[in-house]
Amino acid sequence: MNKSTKRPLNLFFIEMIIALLFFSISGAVILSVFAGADRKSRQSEVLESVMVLSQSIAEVYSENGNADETIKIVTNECGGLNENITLTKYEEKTQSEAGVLSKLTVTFSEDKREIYRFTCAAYIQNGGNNEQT
Amino acid sequence: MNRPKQKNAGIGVGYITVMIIFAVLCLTIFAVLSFHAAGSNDALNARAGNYLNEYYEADMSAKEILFKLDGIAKTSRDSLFFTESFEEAAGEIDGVSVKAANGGCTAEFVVSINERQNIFVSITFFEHTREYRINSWQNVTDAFDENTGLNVWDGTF
Repeated sequence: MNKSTKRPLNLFFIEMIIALLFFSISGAVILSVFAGADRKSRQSEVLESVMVLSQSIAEVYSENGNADETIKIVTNECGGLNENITLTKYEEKTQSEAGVLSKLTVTFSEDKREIYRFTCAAYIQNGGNNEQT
Repeated sequence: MNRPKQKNAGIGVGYITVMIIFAVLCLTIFAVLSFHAAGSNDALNARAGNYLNEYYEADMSAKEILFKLDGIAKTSRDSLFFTESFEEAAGEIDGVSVKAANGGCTAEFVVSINERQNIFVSITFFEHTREYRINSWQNVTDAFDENTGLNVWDGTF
């Protein structure tokens, strides 16, 4: 009689232990998938903001042809860069009697890892005005 | 006296297994869906980033051509025959076509962004002033033709 009352209780505990083991293993795998999704989402968010910034830089630069002034204007307008993101620029100018062709290469990196790099250009005429219709 | 059998009020064997399997299944589905959504968003941003690069590279090539053309226009203004001199020199640049316009010359060229899209540029350089006017600096697809309208009903039977 004593044996028959103990059996379901033992079975219940054995089942619970197996179920908890299964749940903890599955939970670990699922959590790592969630963490991966979160990491990817953050990277994507950073890339998106950097692209918006790049486009603004390209448009402002095409008007003034001055890298320092452009980056100052754009970072002020956009509320500054994220603390982890660093911006490096390389500017190259070709001058002729008619005007100056400037090329700007901007690289955004996070923790020394390059996120995005793009090149844009500006042509500023010497003296005259260019009118766009 | 026969007493009625007492029913077991506790959780039955198998109930926990079913519940855990259900919970794990739900969590797995959520995890896979969120990973897939994040991956899709990342891929979309990567494509947008590539397009941005392609566009500004094409824009840079167009500005290089503008730089050359403006130099030619400046040299041509110093010569006796602006139109002829400009047409001859600008025609040597790959892909640039030049035609005479009112008070100067109009140069047109197309720069490829990618397989499907191009930047079409049309600029008029004036003979007597240092100015140039950008008539068009627009993004066009290969199928673009301003003379071809959409095939819509014109109201006649």
